[in-house]
Amino acid sequence: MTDQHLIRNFSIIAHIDHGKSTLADRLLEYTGTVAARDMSKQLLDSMDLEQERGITIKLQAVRLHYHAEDGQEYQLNLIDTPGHVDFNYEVSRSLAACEGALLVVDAVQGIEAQTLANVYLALEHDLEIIPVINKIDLPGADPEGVCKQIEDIIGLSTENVIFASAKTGEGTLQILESIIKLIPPPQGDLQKPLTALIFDSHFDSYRGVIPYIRVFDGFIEKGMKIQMINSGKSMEVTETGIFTPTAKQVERLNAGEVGYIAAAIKNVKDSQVGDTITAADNPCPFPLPGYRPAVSMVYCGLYPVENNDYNDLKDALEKLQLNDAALHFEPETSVALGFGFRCGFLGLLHMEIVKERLEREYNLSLLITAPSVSYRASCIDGNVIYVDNPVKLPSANELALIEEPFVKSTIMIPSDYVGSVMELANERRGTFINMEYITPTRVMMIYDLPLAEIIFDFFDNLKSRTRGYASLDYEFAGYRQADLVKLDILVNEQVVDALSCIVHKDSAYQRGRALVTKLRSLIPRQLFEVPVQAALGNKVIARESVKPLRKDVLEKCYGGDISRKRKLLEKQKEGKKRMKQVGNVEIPQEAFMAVLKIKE
Amino acid sequence: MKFTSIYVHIPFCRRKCNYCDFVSYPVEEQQQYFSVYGDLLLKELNLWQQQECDFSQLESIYFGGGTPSLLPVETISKILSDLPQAAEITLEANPETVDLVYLQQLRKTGVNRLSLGAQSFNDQALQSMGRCHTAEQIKAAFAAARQAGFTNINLDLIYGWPYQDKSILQADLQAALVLGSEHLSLYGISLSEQSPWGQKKLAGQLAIADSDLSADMQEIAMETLESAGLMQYEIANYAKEGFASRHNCAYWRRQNYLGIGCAAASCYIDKRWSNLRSLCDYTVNVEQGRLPVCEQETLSIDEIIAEAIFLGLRLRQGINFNQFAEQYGLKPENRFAKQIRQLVNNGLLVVEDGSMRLSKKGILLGNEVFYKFV
Repeated sequence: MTDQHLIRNFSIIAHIDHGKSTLADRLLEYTGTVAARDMSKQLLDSMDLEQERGITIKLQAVRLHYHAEDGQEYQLNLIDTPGHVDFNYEVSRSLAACEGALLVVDAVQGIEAQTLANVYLALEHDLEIIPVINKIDLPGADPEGVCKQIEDIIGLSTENVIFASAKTGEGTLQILESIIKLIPPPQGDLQKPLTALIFDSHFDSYRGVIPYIRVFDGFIEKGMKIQMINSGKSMEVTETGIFTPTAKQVERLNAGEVGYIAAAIKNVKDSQVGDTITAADNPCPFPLPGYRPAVSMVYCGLYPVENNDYNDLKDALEKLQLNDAALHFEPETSVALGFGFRCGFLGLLHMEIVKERLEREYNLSLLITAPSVSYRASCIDGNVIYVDNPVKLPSANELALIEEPFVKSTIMIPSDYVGSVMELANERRGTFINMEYITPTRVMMIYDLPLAEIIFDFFDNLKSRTRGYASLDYEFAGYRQADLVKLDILVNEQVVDALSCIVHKDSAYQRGRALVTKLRSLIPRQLFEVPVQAALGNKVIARESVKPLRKDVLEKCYGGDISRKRKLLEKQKEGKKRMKQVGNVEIPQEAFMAVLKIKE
Repeated sequence: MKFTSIYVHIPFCRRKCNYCDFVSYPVEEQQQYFSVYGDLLLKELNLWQQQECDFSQLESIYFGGGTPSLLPVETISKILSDLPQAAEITLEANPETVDLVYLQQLRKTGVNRLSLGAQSFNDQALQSMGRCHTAEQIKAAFAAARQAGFTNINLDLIYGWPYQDKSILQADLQAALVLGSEHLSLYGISLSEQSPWGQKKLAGQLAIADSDLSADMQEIAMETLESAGLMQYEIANYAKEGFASRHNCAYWRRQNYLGIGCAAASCYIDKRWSNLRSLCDYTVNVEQGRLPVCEQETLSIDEIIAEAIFLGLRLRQGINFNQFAEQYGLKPENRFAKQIRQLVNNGLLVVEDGSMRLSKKGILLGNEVFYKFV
């Protein structure tokens, strides 16, 4: 058993691409947790998606054993965090299980928007922060300058700053020693009743839900009867273990330790992330603070292409939610698409990732409708409703006013781009709040922007107008009244509810035109002419038409090679299967996302 | 195994055409294989005959390619003398490869149908396609074939090639009609990525007719040829009364045919197979006395029925429900009632007199019909 004063629990926080995962790799390697020959790059990003996109999506927990310079062997629990703005929520979950954090800042890029956001989260959790200036091996690295930024902008002391290169391994030892010396050990009481926080979980088809826990007081071991305080469910522990980073059984988890348990938990709802685990026969008096529920920023409809897959989709969403507490969903019905779910996400990246994971991990073929934010509609009769699906917007004669969510956004850019960013923010109905020079050449700009404008390619636009130098962070700032209207799309004279969207009145015409043009190119030619129209109420404001298909036939004979013909036809049939039949018209999946693909 | 048709593939050409994705190799680079190819065909035929293949009711033999007219007449003669007489024996020829003497000798071997790869009568187009002949040479070859006694001649034409407009198509059709062939095959150009033109198209450097122009052209051709007495008996094939190609129809009726030669395809009841596509593999296998077969597949009953329908529908007469039920033990009008109703409503299919066939619109949209049965 490891004495608590030999345990350190910490996270690594950073802006995306500042080298967080590479640093985690170095720590694993240096402590011999993973032999160098077994190292694959970015070891903790184990999902295919994470490795492909080069980002961390899921947090991971891993135990390292470190033989420190003071001669003692320490148990270090590293809880990795995602770096993208969408996943702030997961960062905050990791931090709640830790006593300290390494703040990694790129020595060339300096402080970025997410650096700030993550630091504030860490400070909220009262964590000891150790600044690490990474990538000092790069030409153009300016560790001293970045140090000054940390002091000036964040107001963090850089007394203990470490200059490092996760790539070359420089500074790794110093980081490990600082973790030991600066981050306080856990202060749990082994004698007290069990109190453990579920900070994450995943679903294992054999063992059920596997909660990842941080034990604060007491201990947990096999055979013990436990209770989830919020859900009230009791169960017996069948296994306790740690991640090394592969799962490894241990006899018990003591106060201060991090690991996982199995308790034959079949129902996802019985063990929610944020719940507190205690002993059934000797419960702790108060649950841990837990988490505030993640607030969905973006909503969209998720439908199976094949209506029969509805139950599979439901199942998959439930399992995924276990692994992704920020995902919300509830059943909804669309005239065009049938039965599906309205899902809430932290942002667009989160949305894309959920869709991809559902398709890859659960082998589903899915349709996703245009994303929307949640509007607040006040009706003449005094009712106030939140509208996360444009279809549900009350008609104009019932509406008193509509408000939309605004965010306070922090944009960091080289000072050369101030003009272009101002222009972009104005186009997107932004209100200037503040501007501050971080250094003589770097600027932080604060804007109030409608969330709806942010989620539609704002970041891509920002990046392209600043040659990739901008970083962005945003937080919810409240609802503001706006002149908004519902834009309907008619395909073959029928309103396709899944294509409706809420837009600002001033841009309705332009949006409608762009949408029908895009749809015309996305909807394949059918056997008859298909009109595509955009309408406000009963008024059509734009129209295009998809010309009828006139020719599609294999003429060549290929010397009697019929197998080739048959395979071509089978392929054609498969292609049709991936389209959604709406009325008489076959609409491909991408069309439902057309609104996102409009280039201005 | 009883076969009613034999296909002989000759995978050699003087040069490869720019649009071609058939298995064919330039003869100059493949002399070593070309010189022994005739012997290999005879040997392969022998191998099949040892497999108890029954050719006693042979109806058609077809030499296709590539350019079969590159073969010496003696080779063709030897192959034919190993086989029973068939009613229709076709040889594909490129106009520049044949002269009167060759054609006269060829006629004597028993070949009674000549298929000339004309493709176009526009010299500029022929040149850019990479063809080795001119319009004059087509006319000369045609005249020589008549003189040699060929009374059943086919012309192959391609349409939709780069820069071809409707008037050039009309000119091509008229030139063909002036010659007065008994049969005409008309293919819309389709480019695979492997062909030189396919590569260019992929790189955006070449435009062929889009589907609208191609549809216009096919309609023009259908009208022009029919009014000249050439009946469209299949999607891409037109013939004077009584001159529909038996060999071609064998494919669409799923009759049993044996393919010999490199890359040749065969069909026997529920089996389809292909011969090896590489000249080297083919040669080695046949020389060592092994059947050069690869890619054999056994079709399920559903696949057979799907094929029988999408192939049968290619023919103008379409599918007779009773005949089909007799042959396959299943009434298509019941099994596919929903699909058929939908296709009739869409105007792609015509059901009358106990048969179903493609409508005029359906001929141009065949795949939209066919895939419903797959």
